[in-house]
Amino acid sequence: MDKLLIERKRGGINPLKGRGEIPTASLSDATRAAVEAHFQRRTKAAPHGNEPVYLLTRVTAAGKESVEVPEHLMPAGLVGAVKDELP
Amino acid sequence: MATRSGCFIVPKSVLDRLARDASLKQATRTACRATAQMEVSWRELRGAHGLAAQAHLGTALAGVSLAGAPAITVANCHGSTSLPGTPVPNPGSSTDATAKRCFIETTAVARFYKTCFGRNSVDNLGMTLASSIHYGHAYNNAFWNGTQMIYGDGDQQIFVDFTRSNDVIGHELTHGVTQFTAGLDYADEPGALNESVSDCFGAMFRQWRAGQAASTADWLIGSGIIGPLAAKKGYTCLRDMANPGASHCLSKQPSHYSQYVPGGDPHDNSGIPNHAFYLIAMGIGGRSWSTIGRIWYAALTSPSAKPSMGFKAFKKLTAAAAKSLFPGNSAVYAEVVKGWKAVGV
Repeated sequence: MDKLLIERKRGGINPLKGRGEIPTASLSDATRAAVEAHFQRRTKAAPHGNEPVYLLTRVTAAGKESVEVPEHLMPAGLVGAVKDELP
Repeated sequence: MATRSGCFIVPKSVLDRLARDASLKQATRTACRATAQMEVSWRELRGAHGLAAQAHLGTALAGVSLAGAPAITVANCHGSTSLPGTPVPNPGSSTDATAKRCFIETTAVARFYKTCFGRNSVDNLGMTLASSIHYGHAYNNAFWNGTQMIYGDGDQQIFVDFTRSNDVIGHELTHGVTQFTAGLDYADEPGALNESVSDCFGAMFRQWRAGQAASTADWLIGSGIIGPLAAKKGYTCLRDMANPGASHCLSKQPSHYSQYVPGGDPHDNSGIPNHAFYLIAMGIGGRSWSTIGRIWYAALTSPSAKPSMGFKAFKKLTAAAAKSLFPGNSAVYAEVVKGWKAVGV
């Protein structure tokens, strides 16, 4: 099943790594379109201040591809899927 | 369209393509089309904002102060990630403990910078200090987004409300000060310095609030936001400036330059300048903000401070500041040099 992996790479005061995953089929059309727009983007979006930066990875039968997305450009709902991991 | 909808701030060509994509719902296509039409105006607005910020900075460097004290505002996101949220009226007397605490501690940070370093807000021009609280659902973070502060409530397991540690508030607002002064890049050594400066001023702010001398402070960062699950596993803080590699830190850090990780997370490598700051503060003794704080502030705001500045360049600025600020006290200069040497810089 196709899925979207979301990892918080850095940013903010929280030093922990956080991750989550969502089946692509459960994304709303608007969120899917927003995610697609990020994968189509040719230039890396710069974070504002020290806001968190996330790595979005979509996993399909064709393989994996990833893109970095700063907090202010994250589609609503995806950030909530990220859960922290204690070392 | 909500500001956090994914169709915002993406290339116009992509929005145009999505607007034509028949596989999407009509409402989505309409929203993308509308956003594409807004994109040109938005770009112009951002350009104007950038010019205004530069002009603002130029005025600040000229030493002109336009306001006596910054206004402090608090807005409530009510669990959403839309910024800034709903303004909280009279936050200083709010029944929402987070709003009240955020207002009181942010006001105190402004007073700390004014009293100890003569700085008027993050830009030294009295910029309003805006904070948004209750950001996201169980959101485990706090950050400065270039124009304001954002605080999550924590998941109540690993973290609790991020306003509960006043050094966290001091830390994040210092990112604003850094942005308007040295403008340190957020990668490699400048990134580690950026994080370290925020830890140093966050720790000093906490000590200043408590009236503590360097020798009686605990030098922990974020001890008030550790949740019950993390505490049960023995974690007591995010970082420990006295002992950066201690097992009670959620983020263990290197404390010597020989352990520097090239390309590593700024939060990790900041342990090196953090430990130098701690050693120097302890070596000098007394209240951190009155001696080493003035030295670090002078280095951060020096015209010689550059965005690409590394540890050695910052060390030189602090040594020069120690000499110029405390000309009759060679022991201060000696402690600065000794502290940096102890961490291999």
